[in-house]
Amino acid sequence: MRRKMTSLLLAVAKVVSSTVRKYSRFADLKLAVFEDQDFARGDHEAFRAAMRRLLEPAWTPLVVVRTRDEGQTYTYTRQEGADKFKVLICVIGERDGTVLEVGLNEEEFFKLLSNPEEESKNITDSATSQGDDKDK
Amino acid sequence: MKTVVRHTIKLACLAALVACAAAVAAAQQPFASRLQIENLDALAPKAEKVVDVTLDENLLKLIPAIIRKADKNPNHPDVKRAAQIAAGFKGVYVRSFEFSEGGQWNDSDLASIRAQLKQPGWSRVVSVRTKKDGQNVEVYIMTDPSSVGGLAIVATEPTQLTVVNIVGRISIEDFATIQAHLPNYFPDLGIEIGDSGDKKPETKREAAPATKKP
Repeated sequence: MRRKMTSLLLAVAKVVSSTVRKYSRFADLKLAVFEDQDFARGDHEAFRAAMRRLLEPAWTPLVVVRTRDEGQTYTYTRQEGADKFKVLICVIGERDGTVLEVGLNEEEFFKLLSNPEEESKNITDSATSQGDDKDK
Repeated sequence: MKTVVRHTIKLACLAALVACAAAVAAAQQPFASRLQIENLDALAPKAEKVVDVTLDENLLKLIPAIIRKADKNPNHPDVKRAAQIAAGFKGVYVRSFEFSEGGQWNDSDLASIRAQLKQPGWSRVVSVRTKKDGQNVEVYIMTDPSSVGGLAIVATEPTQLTVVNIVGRISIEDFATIQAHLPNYFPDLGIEIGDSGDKKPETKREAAPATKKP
Protein backbone atom coordinates (compact mmCIF):
# COMPACT_ATOMS: atom_id res chain seq x y z
CA MET A 1 0.00 0.00 0.00
CA ARG A 2 2.82 2.37 1.01
CA ARG A 3 4.80 1.54 -2.16
CA LYS A 4 1.74 2.19 -4.31
CA MET A 5 1.20 5.55 -2.61
CA THR A 6 4.86 6.54 -3.16
CA SER A 7 4.78 5.67 -6.86
CA LEU A 8 1.49 7.55 -7.22
CA LEU A 9 3.01 10.64 -5.58
CA LEU A 10 6.10 10.36 -7.78
CA ALA A 11 3.89 10.16 -10.86
CA VAL A 12 1.99 13.27 -9.75
CA ALA A 13 5.30 15.09 -9.08
CA LYS A 14 6.50 14.17 -12.57
CA VAL A 15 3.34 15.54 -14.17
CA VAL A 16 3.57 18.76 -12.14
CA SER A 17 7.25 19.31 -12.98
CA SER A 18 6.69 18.69 -16.68
CA THR A 19 3.75 21.10 -16.62
CA VAL A 20 5.86 23.76 -14.92
CA ARG A 21 8.60 23.27 -17.51
CA LYS A 22 6.04 23.41 -20.31
CA TYR A 23 4.49 26.65 -19.11
CA SER A 24 7.67 28.36 -17.98
CA ARG A 25 8.42 31.03 -20.58
CA PHE A 26 12.00 31.58 -19.56
CA ALA A 27 15.16 29.57 -19.91
CA ASP A 28 16.44 30.95 -16.63
CA LEU A 29 15.32 33.59 -14.26
CA LYS A 30 17.05 35.76 -11.70
CA LEU A 31 14.77 37.94 -9.65
CA ALA A 32 15.40 40.47 -6.91
CA VAL A 33 12.57 42.31 -5.19
CA PHE A 34 13.13 45.33 -2.95
CA GLU A 35 10.12 46.04 -0.77
CA ASP A 36 9.16 48.92 1.53
CA GLN A 37 11.64 51.38 0.08
CA ASP A 38 11.16 55.05 -0.65
CA PHE A 39 12.02 55.42 -4.30
CA ALA A 40 9.64 58.35 -4.78
CA ARG A 41 12.22 60.82 -3.47
CA GLY A 42 15.02 59.41 -5.61
CA ASP A 43 16.73 61.27 -8.41
CA HIS A 44 15.47 59.49 -11.52
CA GLU A 45 17.97 61.09 -13.85
CA ALA A 46 20.86 60.09 -11.62
CA PHE A 47 19.48 56.56 -11.46
CA ARG A 48 19.20 56.40 -15.22
CA ALA A 49 22.74 57.70 -15.63
CA ALA A 50 23.95 55.04 -13.19
CA MET A 51 22.11 52.34 -15.17
CA ARG A 52 23.78 53.54 -18.34
CA ARG A 53 27.18 53.66 -16.74
CA LEU A 54 26.88 50.17 -15.26
CA LEU A 55 25.16 48.32 -18.07
CA GLU A 56 26.22 49.83 -21.36
CA PRO A 57 27.73 48.76 -23.72
CA ALA A 58 27.48 45.11 -22.58
CA TRP A 59 23.71 45.55 -22.39
CA THR A 60 21.76 47.42 -25.04
CA PRO A 61 18.92 49.70 -23.94
CA LEU A 62 15.62 48.86 -25.63
CA VAL A 63 12.94 50.84 -23.88
CA VAL A 64 12.55 53.08 -20.87
CA VAL A 65 9.04 53.94 -19.75
CA ARG A 66 8.42 56.41 -16.97
CA THR A 67 4.89 57.07 -15.78
CA ARG A 68 3.71 59.07 -12.83
CA ASP A 69 1.45 56.28 -11.54
CA GLU A 70 3.33 53.11 -12.43
CA GLY A 71 6.92 54.20 -11.90
CA GLN A 72 9.84 53.49 -14.20
CA THR A 73 10.64 50.46 -16.29
CA TYR A 74 14.06 49.99 -17.88
CA THR A 75 14.47 47.18 -20.38
CA TYR A 76 17.94 46.17 -21.56
CA THR A 77 18.86 43.28 -23.84
CA ARG A 78 21.92 41.21 -24.69
CA GLN A 79 22.45 38.51 -27.30
CA GLU A 80 23.92 35.35 -25.76
CA GLY A 81 24.19 33.15 -28.84
CA ALA A 82 22.70 32.62 -32.26
CA ASP A 83 19.14 32.38 -30.94
CA LYS A 84 19.46 33.07 -27.23
CA PHE A 85 18.90 36.41 -25.61
CA LYS A 86 19.09 37.86 -22.14
CA VAL A 87 16.72 40.55 -21.00
CA LEU A 88 17.20 42.72 -17.94
CA ILE A 89 14.14 44.54 -16.68
CA CYS A 90 14.25 46.96 -13.79
CA VAL A 91 10.93 48.25 -12.46
CA ILE A 92 10.98 51.01 -9.85
CA GLY A 93 7.75 51.94 -8.13
CA GLU A 94 7.26 54.40 -5.28
CA ARG A 95 7.63 51.79 -2.56
CA ASP A 96 9.26 48.82 -4.24
CA GLY A 97 11.62 47.79 -6.97
CA THR A 98 12.07 44.65 -9.04
CA VAL A 99 15.11 43.62 -11.02
CA LEU A 100 14.91 40.56 -13.16
CA GLU A 101 17.14 38.89 -15.69
CA VAL A 102 15.62 36.28 -17.96
CA GLY A 103 16.81 34.16 -20.82
CA LEU A 104 14.54 34.26 -23.84
CA ASN A 105 14.45 32.10 -26.93
CA GLU A 106 14.20 33.73 -30.32
CA GLU A 107 10.42 33.56 -30.47
CA GLU A 108 9.97 35.22 -27.08
CA PHE A 109 12.59 37.81 -27.89
CA PHE A 110 10.90 38.64 -31.20
CA LYS A 111 7.69 39.16 -29.24
CA LEU A 112 9.51 41.61 -26.98
CA LEU A 113 10.99 43.47 -29.93
CA SER A 114 7.60 43.70 -31.65
CA ASN A 115 6.06 45.48 -28.71
CA PRO A 116 8.76 46.42 -26.18
CA GLU A 117 6.60 48.43 -23.79
CA GLU A 118 3.78 45.91 -23.44
CA GLU A 119 5.98 42.82 -23.51
CA SER A 120 8.33 44.21 -20.84
CA LYS A 121 5.26 44.41 -18.59
CA ASN A 122 4.14 40.90 -19.55
CA ILE A 123 7.59 39.43 -18.89
CA THR A 124 7.77 41.16 -15.52
CA ASP A 125 4.30 39.96 -14.53
CA SER A 126 5.03 36.46 -15.74
CA ALA A 127 8.45 36.31 -14.06
CA THR A 128 7.31 37.72 -10.73
CA SER A 129 4.37 35.33 -10.55
CA GLN A 130 6.78 32.51 -11.44
CA GLY A 131 9.01 33.73 -8.64
CA ASP A 132 6.03 33.75 -6.26
CA ASP A 133 5.17 30.18 -7.28
CA LYS A 134 8.72 29.11 -6.52
CA ASP A 135 8.50 30.68 -3.06
CA LYS A 136 5.33 28.73 -2.20
CA MET B 1 70.02 45.40 -48.69
CA LYS B 2 68.86 43.97 -45.38
CA THR B 3 68.39 47.49 -44.04
CA VAL B 4 66.19 48.45 -47.01
CA VAL B 5 63.99 45.37 -46.48
CA ARG B 6 63.74 46.09 -42.76
CA HIS B 7 62.74 49.71 -43.42
CA THR B 8 60.19 48.63 -46.02
CA ILE B 9 58.61 46.20 -43.55
CA LYS B 10 58.56 48.89 -40.86
CA LEU B 11 56.88 51.35 -43.25
CA ALA B 12 54.33 48.74 -44.30
CA CYS B 13 53.53 48.02 -40.65
CA LEU B 14 53.17 51.73 -39.94
CA ALA B 15 50.87 52.19 -42.94
CA ALA B 16 48.72 49.25 -41.80
CA LEU B 17 48.55 50.74 -38.30
CA VAL B 18 47.46 54.13 -39.63
CA ALA B 19 44.83 52.47 -41.85
CA CYS B 20 43.50 50.52 -38.86
CA ALA B 21 43.36 53.64 -36.70
CA ALA B 22 41.53 55.53 -39.45
CA ALA B 23 39.02 52.70 -39.82
CA VAL B 24 38.40 52.62 -36.06
CA ALA B 25 38.00 56.39 -35.97
CA ALA B 26 35.54 56.27 -38.87
CA ALA B 27 33.56 53.54 -37.16
CA GLN B 28 33.37 55.58 -33.96
CA GLN B 29 32.27 58.76 -35.76
CA PRO B 30 28.62 59.38 -34.96
CA PHE B 31 26.30 59.42 -37.94
CA ALA B 32 25.39 62.91 -39.12
CA SER B 33 21.72 61.95 -39.12
CA ARG B 34 21.79 60.85 -35.46
CA LEU B 35 20.14 63.61 -33.48
CA GLN B 36 21.04 64.51 -29.93
CA ILE B 37 17.64 64.31 -28.23
CA GLU B 38 18.79 63.83 -24.64
CA ASN B 39 18.04 67.45 -23.79
CA LEU B 40 14.35 66.52 -23.93
CA ASP B 41 14.87 64.58 -20.70
CA ALA B 42 14.42 67.88 -18.88
CA LEU B 43 10.70 67.55 -19.68
CA ALA B 44 10.42 64.17 -17.98
CA PRO B 45 9.50 65.44 -14.48
CA LYS B 46 6.55 67.37 -15.93
CA ALA B 47 5.30 64.49 -18.07
CA GLU B 48 2.63 61.98 -17.18
CA LYS B 49 4.38 59.37 -19.28
CA VAL B 50 7.73 59.19 -21.08
CA VAL B 51 8.67 56.45 -23.51
CA ASP B 52 12.21 56.21 -24.78
CA VAL B 53 12.92 53.54 -27.38
CA THR B 54 16.37 52.68 -28.71
CA LEU B 55 17.08 50.19 -31.45
CA ASP B 56 20.78 49.93 -32.13
CA GLU B 57 22.38 48.23 -35.12
CA ASN B 58 22.51 44.82 -33.41
CA LEU B 59 18.81 44.78 -32.55
CA LEU B 60 17.91 46.20 -35.93
CA LYS B 61 19.42 43.14 -37.59
CA LEU B 62 16.50 41.17 -36.12
CA ILE B 63 13.75 43.54 -37.24
CA PRO B 64 13.42 42.25 -40.85
CA ALA B 65 12.80 38.74 -39.50
CA ILE B 66 10.24 40.11 -37.04
CA ILE B 67 8.40 41.93 -39.83
CA ARG B 68 8.28 38.75 -41.91
CA LYS B 69 7.17 36.61 -38.96
CA ALA B 70 4.48 39.01 -37.82
CA ASP B 71 2.72 38.99 -41.16
CA LYS B 72 0.42 36.20 -42.33
CA ASN B 73 1.77 36.65 -45.81
CA PRO B 74 5.54 37.05 -45.50
CA ASN B 75 5.99 36.88 -49.26
CA HIS B 76 3.77 39.87 -49.92
CA PRO B 77 5.77 42.56 -51.75
CA ASP B 78 4.82 45.10 -49.08
CA VAL B 79 6.23 42.88 -46.32
CA LYS B 80 9.38 42.23 -48.31
CA ARG B 81 9.77 45.94 -48.91
CA ALA B 82 9.31 46.76 -45.21
CA ALA B 83 11.92 44.14 -44.26
CA GLN B 84 14.27 45.52 -46.89
CA ILE B 85 13.85 49.08 -45.59
CA ALA B 86 14.46 48.01 -41.97
CA ALA B 87 17.58 46.10 -43.03
CA GLY B 88 19.12 49.42 -44.05
CA PHE B 89 18.65 51.08 -40.67
CA LYS B 90 21.61 51.86 -38.43
CA GLY B 91 19.64 53.16 -35.49
CA VAL B 92 16.12 54.04 -34.41
CA TYR B 93 15.45 56.44 -31.54
CA VAL B 94 12.00 57.46 -30.38
CA ARG B 95 11.19 59.69 -27.45
CA SER B 96 7.61 60.55 -26.61
CA PHE B 97 6.06 62.54 -23.78
CA GLU B 98 2.47 62.70 -22.64
CA PHE B 99 1.35 65.52 -20.40
CA SER B 100 -1.77 65.74 -18.27
CA GLU B 101 -2.45 69.30 -19.43
CA GLY B 102 -1.26 71.80 -22.01
CA GLY B 103 1.46 74.37 -21.41
CA GLN B 104 3.94 71.89 -19.97
CA TRP B 105 6.32 72.22 -22.89
CA ASN B 106 7.14 75.05 -25.26
CA ASP B 107 9.06 75.64 -28.47
CA SER B 108 12.29 76.40 -26.61
CA ASP B 109 12.37 72.75 -25.51
CA LEU B 110 12.68 71.81 -29.16
CA ALA B 111 15.17 74.55 -30.05
CA SER B 112 18.20 72.28 -29.85
CA ILE B 113 16.59 69.66 -32.10
CA ARG B 114 15.42 72.24 -34.61
CA ALA B 115 18.94 73.72 -34.67
CA GLN B 116 20.34 70.30 -35.56
CA LEU B 117 17.72 69.92 -38.28
CA LYS B 118 18.84 73.25 -39.78
CA GLN B 119 22.26 71.78 -40.45
CA PRO B 120 23.22 71.16 -44.10
CA GLY B 121 21.90 67.85 -45.41
CA TRP B 122 18.55 67.94 -43.64
CA SER B 123 15.49 68.87 -45.71
CA ARG B 124 12.03 69.44 -44.33
CA VAL B 125 9.70 67.46 -46.56
CA VAL B 126 6.45 67.68 -44.62
CA SER B 127 5.05 70.30 -42.32
CA VAL B 128 1.46 70.12 -41.16
CA ARG B 129 -0.25 72.39 -38.68
CA THR B 130 -3.78 71.66 -37.51
CA LYS B 131 -5.32 74.76 -35.99
CA LYS B 132 -8.23 72.98 -34.34
CA ASP B 133 -6.25 70.42 -32.34
CA GLY B 134 -3.00 72.32 -32.21
CA GLN B 135 -1.22 69.42 -33.89
CA ASN B 136 2.06 70.00 -35.64
CA VAL B 137 3.99 67.41 -37.61
CA GLU B 138 7.31 68.04 -39.29
CA VAL B 139 9.22 65.43 -41.22
CA TYR B 140 12.83 65.91 -42.21
CA ILE B 141 14.97 63.73 -44.46
CA MET B 142 18.76 63.63 -44.58
CA THR B 143 19.51 64.16 -48.24
CA ASP B 144 23.29 64.35 -48.10
CA PRO B 145 24.39 61.56 -50.47
CA SER B 146 27.66 61.09 -48.57
CA SER B 147 25.78 60.27 -45.35
CA VAL B 148 24.04 57.02 -44.42
CA GLY B 149 20.74 58.88 -44.69
CA GLY B 150 18.15 59.48 -42.05
CA LEU B 151 14.74 60.74 -41.09
CA ALA B 152 13.48 62.89 -38.26
CA ILE B 153 9.94 63.55 -37.14
CA VAL B 154 8.88 66.17 -34.67
CA ALA B 155 5.21 65.68 -33.81
CA THR B 156 3.58 67.86 -31.22
CA GLU B 157 0.18 68.42 -29.68
CA PRO B 158 -0.61 70.56 -26.65
CA THR B 159 -0.33 67.50 -24.40
CA GLN B 160 2.00 65.35 -26.47
CA LEU B 161 5.46 65.57 -27.92
CA THR B 162 7.16 62.88 -29.99
CA VAL B 163 10.54 62.89 -31.68
CA VAL B 164 11.50 60.04 -34.01
CA ASN B 165 14.99 59.71 -35.43
CA ILE B 166 15.91 56.98 -37.88
CA VAL B 167 19.52 56.63 -39.00
CA GLY B 168 19.68 54.91 -42.37
CA ARG B 169 18.49 55.27 -45.92
CA ILE B 170 14.75 56.03 -45.85
CA SER B 171 12.20 58.10 -47.75
CA ILE B 172 8.85 59.41 -46.53
CA GLU B 173 7.10 56.63 -48.49
CA ASP B 174 9.38 54.09 -46.79
CA PHE B 175 8.40 55.52 -43.42
CA ALA B 176 4.71 54.92 -44.13
CA THR B 177 5.51 51.33 -45.13
CA ILE B 178 7.63 50.66 -42.06
CA GLN B 179 5.14 52.38 -39.76
CA ALA B 180 2.41 50.00 -40.89
CA HIS B 181 4.60 47.03 -39.95
CA LEU B 182 6.08 48.41 -36.74
CA PRO B 183 3.20 50.41 -35.27
CA ASN B 184 4.52 50.06 -31.74
CA TYR B 185 7.63 52.03 -32.60
CA PHE B 186 6.38 54.80 -34.80
CA PRO B 187 3.38 57.09 -34.41
CA ASP B 188 0.82 57.11 -37.19
CA LEU B 189 1.30 60.56 -38.63
CA GLY B 190 -1.63 60.21 -40.99
CA ILE B 191 0.50 61.40 -43.87
CA GLU B 192 -0.97 60.56 -47.24
CA ILE B 193 1.81 59.32 -49.48
CA GLY B 194 2.25 61.12 -52.76
CA ASP B 195 0.74 64.26 -51.28
CA SER B 196 3.67 65.76 -49.47
CA GLY B 197 2.64 68.23 -46.80
CA ASP B 198 -0.91 66.94 -46.52
CA LYS B 199 -2.67 65.01 -43.80
CA LYS B 200 -5.71 62.81 -44.02
CA PRO B 201 -8.63 64.65 -45.63
CA GLU B 202 -10.84 64.63 -42.55
CA THR B 203 -8.30 66.80 -40.70
CA LYS B 204 -8.70 70.54 -41.04
CA ARG B 205 -5.27 71.83 -41.62
CA GLU B 206 -3.00 74.58 -42.60
CA ALA B 207 -0.12 73.05 -44.48
CA ALA B 208 3.09 74.97 -44.57
CA PRO B 209 5.05 74.64 -47.79
CA ALA B 210 7.83 72.10 -47.62
CA THR B 211 11.24 73.71 -47.59
CA LYS B 212 14.42 72.22 -48.88
CA LYS B 213 17.90 73.12 -47.90
CA PRO B 214 21.00 72.09 -49.81
